[in-house]
Amino acid sequence: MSDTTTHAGAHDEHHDTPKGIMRWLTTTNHKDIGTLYLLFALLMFFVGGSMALVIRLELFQPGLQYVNPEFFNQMTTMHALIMIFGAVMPAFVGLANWMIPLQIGAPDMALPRMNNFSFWILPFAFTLLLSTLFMASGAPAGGWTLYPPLVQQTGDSLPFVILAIHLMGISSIMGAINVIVTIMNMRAPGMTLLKMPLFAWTWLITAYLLIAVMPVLAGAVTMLLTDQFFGTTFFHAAGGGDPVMFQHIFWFFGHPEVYIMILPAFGIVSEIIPTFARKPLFGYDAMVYATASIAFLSFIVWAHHMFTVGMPLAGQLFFMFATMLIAVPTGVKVFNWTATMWRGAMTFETPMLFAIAFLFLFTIGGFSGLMLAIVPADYQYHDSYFVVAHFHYVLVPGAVFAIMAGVYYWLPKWTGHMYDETLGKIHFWLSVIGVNVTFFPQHFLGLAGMPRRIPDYATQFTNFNMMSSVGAFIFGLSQLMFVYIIFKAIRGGAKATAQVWDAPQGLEWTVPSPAPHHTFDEAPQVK
Amino acid sequence: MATGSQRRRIITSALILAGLAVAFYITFIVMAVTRA
Repeated sequence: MSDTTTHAGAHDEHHDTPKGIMRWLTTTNHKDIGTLYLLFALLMFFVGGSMALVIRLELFQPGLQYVNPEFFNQMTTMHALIMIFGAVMPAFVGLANWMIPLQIGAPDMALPRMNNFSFWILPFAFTLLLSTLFMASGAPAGGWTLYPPLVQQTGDSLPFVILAIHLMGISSIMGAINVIVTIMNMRAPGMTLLKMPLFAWTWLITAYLLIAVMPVLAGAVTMLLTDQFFGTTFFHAAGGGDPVMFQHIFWFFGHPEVYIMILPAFGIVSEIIPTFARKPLFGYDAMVYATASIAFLSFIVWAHHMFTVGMPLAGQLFFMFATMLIAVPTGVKVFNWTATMWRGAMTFETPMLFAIAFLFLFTIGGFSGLMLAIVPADYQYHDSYFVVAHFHYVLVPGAVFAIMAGVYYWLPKWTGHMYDETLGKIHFWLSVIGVNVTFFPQHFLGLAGMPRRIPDYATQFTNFNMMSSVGAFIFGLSQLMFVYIIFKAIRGGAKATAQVWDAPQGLEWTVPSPAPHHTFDEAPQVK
Repeated sequence: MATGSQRRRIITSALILAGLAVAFYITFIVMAVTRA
């Protein structure tokens, strides 16, 4: 009885939603919080992107033109931290907030107040991080990996960076707890785990990864802090510590982090390809098991980031073979997406274009990853532009393209309007050309011996650097179109139907477009 | 809106997961201290 009373009271309260800024500050609605996350990620995408353009501007030709080397290194470090923790991760959390309750037939996330808190930590964390740019000692400049002893030259801004990282970690862990608890407890009747949409599945596994590794990063940076200010010597050789131990701890976090940024992308692509191929996903169960296998393997491959530190041969062999093993479940996925398209009645709307580009270009990034896994070859590639090319192929046409595909796919459900398809296609082609012109030449630069994280280079590298910089500006500027397309769809456009696309699968397409503020107050029955 | 038993399940599972996160944090620092 008391439950019923609480239910009715809470229900009325929802209709008394505050207006204006208070609505956004105090919201506990998963759709509002999803929107906040996505807008924040978009803002950070431009902040981090403008740092990338500073880097590419300086590297357009050899010699030092625009920035000094210290500031250049601050840009590479901050670009990475902002894109990883401020753009890609919050974008995926935003998509999870919007779509997971809709996909599993839940009325909201399980812990809505914590949901609000985990978002509102982020603006503070990033204000703290960005404020270091204006401090006397400058922003961190030792790379996003924060290796000691180099990072300990940062000076007085280091504790600000470490506190910011702690806040981002707390936010991520709370978001992950919310996803797991929602999926495990609030699925609609009849929605067994193996009937769940793949986006929800990949996020469930990602959330476990987050809970396992964000505390490890927190531990590592706490130890950096005590080494710097409280006289400990975890990573100081002079005091009996070991700087290589930091690398082990960092990459025990860092490698699963890579999968945190790609598994939800796999989920999005697995939603989009069946819709536009008009066929069910090929090998659904295999896709779920492949995702779980990738997550498991991500914990036993960390030292492939540090083959050159001088580890025993047995260690190198173990990490080399374990890394190569990841190609098996990843290959399962690539073949299943391809098999889904096989003999499908395909159409090529913007989400599908981004999903297909993801399939091709992520695979290129995967293959260069296999090359890097080979120990003797890695001794040549290590810390070169080949590595930069590799992980940007995985992260930009991989994670970022999947996010864009997801935004185009679900935007009509969020706004109730179709986006401008012509502009969407122009945005796609400019992005795909820009990305390849930027990052493909970087493979050649790396193979020719250009080291990463340098503001100046030998003249023999000039041509490919010029190409790369031109591509970066094409890609960067074309993202202004993305913003225009999104806001144009928010303001108006052709009305979207509930289904939006031609017979898509999933509960999210059973609610009207735009999705009402409250959905599934009565749980739907899933057959 | 969650029923009573559902709410208990939600809170229990959230606490277990939060406990896991704290345990991982402590474990890694203890491992570093002892160089395990």
